[in-house]
This record gives sequence, structure tokens and C-alpha cells, in this order.
Amino acid sequence: MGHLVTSVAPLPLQGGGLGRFIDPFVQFLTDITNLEPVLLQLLAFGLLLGGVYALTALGLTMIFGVMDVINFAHGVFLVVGMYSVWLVSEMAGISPFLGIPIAAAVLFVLGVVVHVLTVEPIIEAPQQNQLIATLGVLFIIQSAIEIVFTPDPQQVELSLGSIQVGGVFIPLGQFYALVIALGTMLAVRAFLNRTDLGRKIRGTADNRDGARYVGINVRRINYLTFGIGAALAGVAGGSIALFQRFDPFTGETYLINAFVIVILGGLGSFPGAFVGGLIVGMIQVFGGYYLPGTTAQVLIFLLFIGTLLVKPEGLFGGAEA
Amino acid sequence: MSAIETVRDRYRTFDDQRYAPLVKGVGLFGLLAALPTIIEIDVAGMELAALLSLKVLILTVIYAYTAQAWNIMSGYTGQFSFGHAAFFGIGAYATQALVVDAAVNPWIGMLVGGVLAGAYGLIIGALSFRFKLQGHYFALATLAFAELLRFVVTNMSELRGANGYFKAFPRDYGAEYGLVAFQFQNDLPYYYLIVGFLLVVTLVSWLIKNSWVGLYFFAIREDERAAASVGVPSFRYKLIGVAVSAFFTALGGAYWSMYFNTIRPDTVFALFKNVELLLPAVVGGPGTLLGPIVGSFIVTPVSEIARTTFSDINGLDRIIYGAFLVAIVIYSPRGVVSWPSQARALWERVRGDEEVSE
Amino acid sequence: MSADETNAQSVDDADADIDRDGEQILSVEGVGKRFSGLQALDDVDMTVNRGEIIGLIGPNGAGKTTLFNCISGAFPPTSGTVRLDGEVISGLPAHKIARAGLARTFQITRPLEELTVVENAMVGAHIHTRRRGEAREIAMETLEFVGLADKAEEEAGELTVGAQKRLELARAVSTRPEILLLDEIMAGLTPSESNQMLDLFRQLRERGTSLLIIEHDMKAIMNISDYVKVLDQGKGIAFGAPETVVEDDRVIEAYIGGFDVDA
Repeated sequence: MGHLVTSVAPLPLQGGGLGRFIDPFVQFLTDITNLEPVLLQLLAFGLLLGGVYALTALGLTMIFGVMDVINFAHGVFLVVGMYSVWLVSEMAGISPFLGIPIAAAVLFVLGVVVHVLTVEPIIEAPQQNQLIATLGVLFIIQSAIEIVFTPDPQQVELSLGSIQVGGVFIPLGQFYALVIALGTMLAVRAFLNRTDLGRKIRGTADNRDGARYVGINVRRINYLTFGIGAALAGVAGGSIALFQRFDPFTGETYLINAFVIVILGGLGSFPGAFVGGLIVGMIQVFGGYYLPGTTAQVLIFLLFIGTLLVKPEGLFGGAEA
Repeated sequence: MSAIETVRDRYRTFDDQRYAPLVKGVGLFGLLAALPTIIEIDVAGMELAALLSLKVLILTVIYAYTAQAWNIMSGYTGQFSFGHAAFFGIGAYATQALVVDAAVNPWIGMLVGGVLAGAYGLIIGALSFRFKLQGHYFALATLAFAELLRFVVTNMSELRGANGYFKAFPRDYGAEYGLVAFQFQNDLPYYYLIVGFLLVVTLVSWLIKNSWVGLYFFAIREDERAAASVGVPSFRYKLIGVAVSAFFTALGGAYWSMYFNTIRPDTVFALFKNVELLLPAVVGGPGTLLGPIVGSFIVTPVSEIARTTFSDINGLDRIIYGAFLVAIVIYSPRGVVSWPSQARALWERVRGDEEVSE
Repeated sequence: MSADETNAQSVDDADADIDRDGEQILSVEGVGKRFSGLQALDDVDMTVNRGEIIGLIGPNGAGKTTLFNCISGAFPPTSGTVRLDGEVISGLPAHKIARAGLARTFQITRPLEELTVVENAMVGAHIHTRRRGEAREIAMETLEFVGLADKAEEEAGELTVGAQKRLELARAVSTRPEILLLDEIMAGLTPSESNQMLDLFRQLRERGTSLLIIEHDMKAIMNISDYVKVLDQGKGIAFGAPETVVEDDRVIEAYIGGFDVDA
């Protein structure tokens, strides 16, 4: 396949010269001064995408914040959520909306199993070992899905259509996903702030040794955290499946952006994840419209690196979850 | 005295000699040089070559090489890089861009790539260390710097965007197949060349380990504050570690680009390339000289053999690979090369118990 | 220095009228350190001369370790100046201060765990030479000196507490410092180990090394120190010979407020 490559001309969008850096911003400013209606539409898309991104980051930020483990399998957890909703609606004919809680339950169990088998034995080992172990989990689950369901993209049969609000076009699938994202976020916050167990999880996030000292069963908290983190990935994956095609490898892009969101928003912070999600969503939507190719992703990584360097505790610093 | 003990004592006497590292090195690299012949030896109608092709051997030594280069920074100074694909990709792209677009000899392109990667490493290091990034944050930052390059290159028409480069013929840059052209018509010279690369980076690692630089690196890894309190300029030495490591990693990328026909942002800067480059060192034993080499001979063939053996079920090889990763970090967190000493400790404990019970 | 300033100094730690021998090695001038709202050190002055052993005492939280950190460059003081041999060292990074001739140990020992004992000491010795053989010789000398030579090839992380304390000392001594800052290096030692340690201190002094010592064992510190500096709530409250300091009203007052004198 590589033999064909050289004959393909560069994409016309990727023209040379400095103009390609300046022109988009000139265009953007012109649109703002002219109050182009497209801006409102882009804002709406950014909000919708950002909400979903925030949801994908919730589980990651919780596991990172409480257990100090970078879970590389988080992306593939999302994919399991997508396939769960798809299976439930295709095979059992149940509404995909009901599939989302089922996906959460499946992922909770999967999360606990993964934690017991791979993370718990090395929770005190050097951090890179956890990273490699969760990466191994990623390979296993991803390939298992590939074998069982083929690498072909799948889609949940659901035509929700769209609505128009003041000339702004809103696809309902994404709108529902945003509503689910907000609802889930509020529910988890309430759980963490109002319930005894939630407070214990927060205490463990603040200070693991201290938590152990005051008699919290940190082992049990770890099970729960990993399970809930995975379940949140299930909700996120399930919500994405409402409006998007997916394959076994869809998780990768979401994983990387989820890392960015977690750091942007601050480790373990749910409001932070929401704001981080919005920032990444907006950059992608506006960048996708004004900038050539995937240049928007370059901006996202620059922002990520900047945040890591200048404010590694994130915009909403401190462990909120 | 049992036979085992005699052998062990003789080995210890040998180990204390000044020439011991030289003998071990010659032995190891002699074995590597003989491997292409060894795998073709017919044992009871079975050739190892059926399982372990020359191509797999080349891949194995490539990853032994990159892991050895990664080790200089992350194994020795303890700054865990998860973004070495950045340096690998820079090496590959510098070489190909110069060869294909400017007909520059790949050896020169390789060195240019090495220097550029070193510079990029210095930028990453200077920023991260100045802002005191540690642990997960440092690993994520290095990953971000690598991913950043992937997207920059993908969006640069000057570097042919997502399409990447297709390797030029030697005559296109005024050379003929052979060492000067960095291209050969069969795999065997490629194999010896990468073994040569591995020899160089192993030698450099050995020199570092056996000088004050290595001791400073290890001191920084163990406890930066304690090291500084006795005069170790940790910022400077961490930068040295990054730069040297990045330079050699880029040479590996250059080799890769001259061995395979194409490079694309999604291959040389791939997210999982970051893992492949460092994995042998973690499996074999980070911070050791032998670890990256031994580690690669465990990891790379496993994944390649799984790929060829289970080729009818797409993905089964990655399940085996994944399970292998999990098992190795759980059961051998300090790497395979620590097994002999762990076994010895166990043996001595067992013997100790016996003596007590007598 | 004007008469007024000299006077002001003598009010808070009264060392102006003490006649001390030897050239000045270390001088701490008006050093203060603020941590987000908390004044951990406030205008501390003190000096150490060549060959002196100075004890630094005070109740818990008096700022002793903070003062060590300011002097050794773990962090810079927020105000004031530290001089080593007349050269300003405050604000320099720790490794430069070590290279200028000031070494320290840590209250909680920080062995380079996966390195051998001799390699730990060699890290310090490499200040003087890049040659491994020479560094090894210096390191072995200091290991002989502290009595760890027989454990030279053991992993530092495997040592007992007492041996780790001696390693901590050996690593610092390997830099051949002009002045050594020792932070509770005798804590956790058995009485005989403590006596050996005091003996090492005296030998170091004979070699011309000055010592500034934080220690909770009052008997030991009164026994070994030429002079004692007392800190309380980040301020210097007394300086003088051990026997005069213990009679100082302010010292007694500071100690009664939460510190047992015979600890």
C-alpha cells in the first residue's frame, strides 16, 4: 500500500506560507465582527461535544485523583460501553437509553475485575508498572472486541433527528448525551459529597495514609473507585453510541483527550473536568471549522503542555472528588 | 563442595577480573552476530528459522537498541519518558526528508536527526525540570510532546502530511546499494548493521555507568535532594541524560526509516510506538545494561511469533501480548535480569533454613 | 557595622561580648523565611568559626531545620544573607553550596538505596575528582573513618538505622567540607553508638572541619559544643557557652513551654 503513497498530492488545505497560520484567525475575527450566525452554531456544537468529552474524563479523573493510577484502559472501557448499548438494542431490542445503565453495570463489574487482577497487585509498585499493566488490559479487551465483533464500525439504529432553536441546529443524539453528562456529573458529585462512602472516597483522595490511619478500608475504596470510574466510562461510551459510529479502536482518541481534560481541569475535579471538556470541545469544533486538517489538535496539546508546566494542579486545582 | 558451587565460585572469581566486562561483551555480541546462522541449524528436522525469521531478529535488535537508548534517560536518571516516539520520529523524518527531498546521504540525515532530537529533548527537559514535573505528570508531559509532533507533522504539507515518505532508491541520492547508501538488497547486512548500532549504544551506556556521570545519574534517580546536598547538579545531568538518550533514539528512527519502505506520522510517531520503544527495558530490568537486550529478546519475538502463529484470528496476538505485559509487571517488577539474584537469595534462604534446622 | 546594629544584635543573642578564636567560616545575617503567611524564621544572626562545634537547639518548631535548609540551599531565605568564607551563598542552589564547601545531613536519613555504601560516599567524593578510582579512594577513607568499610559493597537500603546514620555522615564528609551541618544525626542511636558519633565529631574538628549540630540530646550537645545557639519561634534568643546558655531566663522560659530539658 505504501507504493501508492507518493503519488497522492498534498491536501489542498495544507498550503504553505505563513498565511495558513494567520488567515484562519483573520477569518475568525471577521466572522465575529460581522456576527455571523455560524458562530452560534459552532458554539452549540462545541458545547455538545464538550459535554460528552467531560463525561469521558469523569472516570479517569476519579481513578487518577483517588488512586494516583493512570488508567490506560479507560479508552477501551468507553468502547465496551458503546458495544454494550449496541448489543442491548440490537440483540434484545431494548431502547439504547436503557442500555446505558446496563453498560454502567457491566463496566462496574469489569472495572472491579481488572482492578483485582492487574492494578491491586502492583498498587505500591513504581508508577510506570501500573501504566504498562493497564496498557496490557487495553490490548486484551480491544482485541477481544475485535475478534468477537470484527473490526468493522457499528452503529446503534436510532434516528433521533434534530431540532432548530433560533436558527441553531441541534442534533438530538448529542443533546441527550450532554443531558446525561450533566446528570451523571451532578449525581456523582452528590454521591461524593452527601454519602458516607463518598466522603470516605474523597478522604482517601486527599490523603491515602491518613485515610488508612482513621480506619478507612482503603482496599475496599480502591475497588469501588476503580469500579465507579469504569462505570462512568460505561455511561460515557453508551452516550456516545447514541449518535456516533464506533469500532474497537475508537477509544484511543477519546483517551488522549480525556488525559488533556483531566490535567486541564485539575486532578479529581468534576467541575474542572466539565470546564476542561468544554475547552477541548470548543477548540476542536472551532479549530475544525477554521483551521486546516487536524491542526486544532496541535493547539490542544500546546494548551496541555502549558497547563502541565505552569499550573499542573489544573484550573480547578486540588482534589475535589 | 558440589559441582554447582564450584562453577559458581569460579564464576565469581572471573567476575572480579578487570577483563570480565570485555569478555562478557564479546560473548554477548558474538552470540548476536552468530544468531542468523544459529536459527538455520537443523535440529531433528526442525529449524528455529521457522519460528524466528531474520526479520524478527532485526526487529528484536531494533527494539533492544531503542530500549537501551531510553534506558540512559529513564532507567539511569529515573525520569520516566513516555514520549520517546518523538525522538524516534524526528530521526526517521529528518533522514527521509533529506534523502527524498534533497538527495542528502542518509548517514548525514541520520546525524541531523540525532542533533534535532537532542535539541527537542533539551527543550522538553528544560521546561519539565524547570517546572519540577515528576512522576505521572512528567510521563504525561513527554507523551504530550510526542503527540504534539505527530499532529504537527500530519498537518505539514512540507513533510507530506499524513501520507509520509516512501524510501528513495540509492541511485536517487547518488549511491549504490551498500553501507554508504544505508540500503541493502537483502536482510542480513541490515541485521549486522543494527547489531553494530546496539554495540555502540551499549558501549556508550557502559562508559556512562562506569564514570562519574553514571553515578550522578543514579544518585539523581535515588534521591535528588540528597544528591544535590553533596554537589550533584541534577538539572544539568538530567538534561545530559535526555539529550544523549534522544540522540541515540533518533538514530534508531533513522535506521527504521531506511529498513522499512515507508514512514508515516501514524507509524513512527504512533501513540503505542512510545510503549514499544521502552518496553524491553522495563521487562528486562530498567537501569541495567543487559536488561534492554534480554527484554527485547523476550518481548519482541513473543509478539511476532504470536502474530504469525495466530494470523488466522486477527487480534489474538495482541491478547497474548497484553496478557504478557500484565504478567511481567506483576510478577517481575524489577525486570527479568533480576531473576538470577532473586533465585540466589531464595536459594540462600532455603539453605539457611536447613542449617538452622540441623 | 554601626554601633547601633551591633547593639541590636547583642540584645537578641548576646554574642557580641564573647571572644572567639579562629577565622569566620559561616555567617548568617538577618536570615528570615516565610511560608505562605507563616514566619518560620525571623531575622536570625549567627556565626561559625573554623574548628568550632556549635550546637543549635530550641523547642520543636523553633525553625532549626528551616535554618539548615536556608543555609544549605534546599530553599532560599526570604530575607537576609548567608556567607561561606566571606562569599554570599544564600540564593545559590544546593549543589553549588555543597561545592563551595558546606555539606549537610538530613534528619530523616536519605540513603541512595539501590546504590552500594561505597557508591553513596563516592557521589560526595566526585566533587573533587571525575576519576572513579580517586573518588573510590576518598570514599573508602571516609568509610574507614565512620566504621563502615566492611559494609562497602552492601546495598545502602539494607543497612540498619545506626549504619544509615553513619552513611549519611560519610556521604557528607566525602565532599571534604569546611563546615558540616548535622541534623539530629544521633536520634535513634544506642548510647554506645552515640558516644562513637561524638568521638567522630571531635576527630572532624581536629581536622579543621567546623560543625553546626541540631540535636535533641541535651546532655550530648552540652558536652560537645563550644557554643550553643538557641532558637525559639523562628528567632535567635540566646548564644553563648553551654553553661551560660542553660541559665538564661529566656531559654528556660522557651523550654518550659513544651520541651523537656532532659530529653
